[in-house]
Amino acid sequence: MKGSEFAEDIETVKTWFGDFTVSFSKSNSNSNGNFQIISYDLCPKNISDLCERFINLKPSTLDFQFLNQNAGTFPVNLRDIAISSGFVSDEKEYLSLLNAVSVNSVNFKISKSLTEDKNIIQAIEALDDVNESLNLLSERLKEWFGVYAPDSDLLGEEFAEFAVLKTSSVAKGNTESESTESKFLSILDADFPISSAAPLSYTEANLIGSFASDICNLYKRRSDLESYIYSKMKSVAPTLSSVAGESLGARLISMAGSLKRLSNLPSSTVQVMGADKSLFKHKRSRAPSPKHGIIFNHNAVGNSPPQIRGKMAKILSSHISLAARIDYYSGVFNPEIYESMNSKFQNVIDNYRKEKSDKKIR
Amino acid sequence: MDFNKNSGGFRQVLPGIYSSNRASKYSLFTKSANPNVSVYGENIFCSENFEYRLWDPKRSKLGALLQKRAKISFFANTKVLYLGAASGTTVSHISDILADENNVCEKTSTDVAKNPDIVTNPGVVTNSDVLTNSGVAKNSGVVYAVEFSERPARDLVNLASVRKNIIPILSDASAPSKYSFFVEPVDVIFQDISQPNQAEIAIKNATYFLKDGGKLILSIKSRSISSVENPKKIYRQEIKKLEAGNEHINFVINNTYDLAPFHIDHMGVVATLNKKK
Repeated sequence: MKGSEFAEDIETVKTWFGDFTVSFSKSNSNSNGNFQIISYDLCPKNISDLCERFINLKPSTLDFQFLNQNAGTFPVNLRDIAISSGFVSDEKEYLSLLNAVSVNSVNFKISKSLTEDKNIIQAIEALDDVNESLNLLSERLKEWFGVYAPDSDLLGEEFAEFAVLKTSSVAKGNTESESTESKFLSILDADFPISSAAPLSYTEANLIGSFASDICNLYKRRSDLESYIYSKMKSVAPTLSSVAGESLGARLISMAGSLKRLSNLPSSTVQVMGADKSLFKHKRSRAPSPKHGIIFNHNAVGNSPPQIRGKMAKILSSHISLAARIDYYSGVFNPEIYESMNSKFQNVIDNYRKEKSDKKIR
Repeated sequence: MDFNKNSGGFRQVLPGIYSSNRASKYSLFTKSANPNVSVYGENIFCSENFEYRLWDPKRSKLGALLQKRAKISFFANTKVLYLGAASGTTVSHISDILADENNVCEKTSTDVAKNPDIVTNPGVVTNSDVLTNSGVAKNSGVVYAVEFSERPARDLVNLASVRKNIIPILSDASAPSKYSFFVEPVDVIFQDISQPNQAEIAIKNATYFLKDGGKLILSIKSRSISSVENPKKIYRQEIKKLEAGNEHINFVINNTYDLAPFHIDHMGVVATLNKKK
């Protein structure tokens, strides 16, 4: 046992401000095994060099904390080592230097963290926001401008365009001749002598016109976002978009957090993703388990008869997670997944039809 | 240091933590280290030359623990490892406390300053005059704030670039070896991460960084461990894990607090580290 006490190891311990060559006895923890710093190599004391070291330093099993654990000595304070080795003159300098270096390196890591799928997530969430506000605003326009155009049966984007067109004629008409009578124009050339349309004045025409043109712009923005998601999904996750479709695929990535996380999730999780409420109800009480979450929006699940939806959802979710894995780890489009999914769908549908016809015969 | 010194209606109740007769008698404050800035939309009270930031217990687990009369003291030279810093709501208050000029140093550390040899390892080549000359710097406390996600880390970094005693770390708290090359041994580990394996993460980090006799403050969110089980059962199970520890360390539980009106299904645990010999 005495021999082992003298057995000493020499290793290099890496800290953020320099490499330290340390000798330590490998004796057991009973003897107060301690270590000595033999020599050290300090990093140059400027922030850019330190940051580079900070970012590139690989985590090693051997550090001062590790030595502390195994040697059972007093904790070695990095701060004291930095001061005693002459790297910094006092604690204040140590802290301000460490603060600057760590802030810079975290900034660097954050700036590197933007991946392609993060853009997709932002776009699909922006699309949801735009949709929500469009519904709200176009409803308001229908209420407001509907007073001046009661017989119009247009909806949504078309109604907004119609409103822009009609109000602009009133606004223009006013700028040409400023007589008080021309301020009140009935918009519709009605077949009936008296229309229920209220007369539109210049100020309202301007206001409603610009309101409607904003809505038109928002509709354009929505189609921009949709086409962006479509093209981006084709390049980032081609297999996933063939299996689930671009918009559902993007929504799944957004719910999982990233393509990487989606590829790591089990397919049973993918199947019930978005059905949190009923899933937890099932876990807490005796409620039936949910068959499908957001993948209900897929044609094969939502449009098939309720009896086989569970099966379809199971097939779809398993192929979605396969596709996500292919997309994340290889990035190459693989058409086989889509084909095998379709053949499995067909099997389930055929079986269902067969059973149904058998029942009818009986 | 006069502990109960009055300053414009603000009274120190714990080191660096104030109560005031200008607000509700339950509300707590910290002296702002970065005046004129509200970090997360909290109210700021001005008095004489100082600003005091209201500590919202509903936004902060530590604030809730203090409201529950937990005697948690951060001294001016306390080193804190904060796991799960998020955007730095609580971290900003700890930073305030550590930077507070009225805050006192922990007694043991001043003893250490008189006898610098016990701080460093006997074998370390040390210029023993260095420590005695500078002594323990007055506000030498520091918060190592670990956060995993990039989005809240953006806010944390902005906070840290103004407050010099915050060291932001963008890393996974379950892999302490990734940041062990610059984190020093700490006096307190505060953990507020909602993970199913939060007890293991606490033990792992404590093995690396916590000094012998150091404190672990842990907030257990029962809903993130299991949404089905009874919270009390989960608390018991997690506390058992802490008491068992690993081959190097275990914990002695000092106190537990239910954070009920402020955070539902949360429990605050204060524990002391015990190194196994």
